[in-house]
Amino acid sequence: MTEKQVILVAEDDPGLNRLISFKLQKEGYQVISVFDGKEALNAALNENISAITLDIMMPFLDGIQVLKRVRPVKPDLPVVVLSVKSRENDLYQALELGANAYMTKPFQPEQLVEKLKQVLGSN
Amino acid sequence: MIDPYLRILLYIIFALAVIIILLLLVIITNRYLVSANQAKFRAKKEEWEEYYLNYLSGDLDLEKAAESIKDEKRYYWLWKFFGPYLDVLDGSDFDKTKALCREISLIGHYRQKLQHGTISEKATAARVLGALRCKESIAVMISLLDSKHQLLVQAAALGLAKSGDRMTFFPVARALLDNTFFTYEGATEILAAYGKSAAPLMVRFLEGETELLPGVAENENSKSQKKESDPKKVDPSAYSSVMIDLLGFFKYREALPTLHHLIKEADPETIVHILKAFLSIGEVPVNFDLKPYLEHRYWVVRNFSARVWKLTGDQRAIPLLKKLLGDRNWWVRFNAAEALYENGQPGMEILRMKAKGSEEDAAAISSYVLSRRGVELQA
Repeated sequence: MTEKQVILVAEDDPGLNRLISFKLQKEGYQVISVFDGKEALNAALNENISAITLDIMMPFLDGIQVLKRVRPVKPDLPVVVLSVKSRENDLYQALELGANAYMTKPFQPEQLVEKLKQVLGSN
Repeated sequence: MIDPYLRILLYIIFALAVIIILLLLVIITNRYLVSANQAKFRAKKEEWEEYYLNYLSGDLDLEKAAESIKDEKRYYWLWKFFGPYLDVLDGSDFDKTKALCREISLIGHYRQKLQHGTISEKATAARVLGALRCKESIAVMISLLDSKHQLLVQAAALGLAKSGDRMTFFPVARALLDNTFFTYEGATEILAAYGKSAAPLMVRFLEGETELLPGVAENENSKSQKKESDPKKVDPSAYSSVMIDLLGFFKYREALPTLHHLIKEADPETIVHILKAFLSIGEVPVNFDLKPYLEHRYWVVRNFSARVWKLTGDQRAIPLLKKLLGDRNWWVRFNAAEALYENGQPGMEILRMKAKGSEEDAAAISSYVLSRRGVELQA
């Protein structure tokens, strides 16, 4: 039996977190949901995950800080960052820090799932 | 027999105690009601979420989902439930959510409130209909931009910005800057919600199509009178400054030729905004000559020009940067020294030389920049 790939969904908006998780579960992924940067960092470093969808603006530790700390430890872990359109500058920074792809809100969750599949495939 | 004064005192103490107890009861009851209400909303939200997610994934059709979610007594809760989704969803999921909101009469309810509700109901309606990108309500929301109620103007501006309808950009910009007490930064933040797609319109305005923003052309001619007659009215150049900031924010490099043309005849404040936009875009226009700005009489312009230098790398400007090491303003000296450092070995040589020289300010700033960059002065 093949093991399900585990996706870490780091998003502080509970509704959106549930929606992304729901869509990913429908696609056959196992999901770990976290709602702030500290939880995200902890899960990213300690859990056996296949990829992260990482919101930039989160309480305690923002997505950029999470990425900065995760990348040296897990350089090959696929990361898709999410941010609001008006903060596109953060996205450029995230890409410089090694994020594999990004999406700006508002977005279509299906496209996020597609992006994740792509980065998982190319990994 | 109790002393009459003591009796009055006791009555007062008793009355105060009763008032305090009543107040405490009101606070406790209120808190209880609020938390009970929140608990009810959370329970409803969970129930609705189940139907909504299944509807989005196609497991539930529109009629069934609407039947399960519709709640004519709780339109505000429905808005609180759908609002966060509307902010982040796009494409088919947004369309499906909007269709559901129409089916449960949320749109109809708030359209009616926008026309006939109280001030606060109209304000909520403007936010809801803006988030739902309801084209049919745009005309009413635009009319609210001229309201004498600040709350309505702000809600309509926010609603219209969220609707993303580019044609409303200028009326909203005018209302935010002229008809509200929003700070310049606050107005820019709201206008940023229109996204990069509004950038071509801003460029057209900056290129001289002032008719896009009615009222500005007249303001240009009677700036002082307007300011005196209405303190809320902003300096007309503020419109240009907001748009230049937004173009920088969106990294809209297509605006570089326009900004190049504009900077030649701009006032010092606008020059600063344009230089900041160059820094945000990370590029300067082709054939851009920085020298006049490095020599500008206004220190903020000289300061930003020194920062912009690293984008040009123009070697002809090195003597001017060298001269700015002795500028009367510390920030100008600092950024000139930083620019020289960025120029590599030749720049560093200049800094070393100046650090050992007799010009006090230039020596101090050169030493400071070299030491913060970890460069040994003796090397």
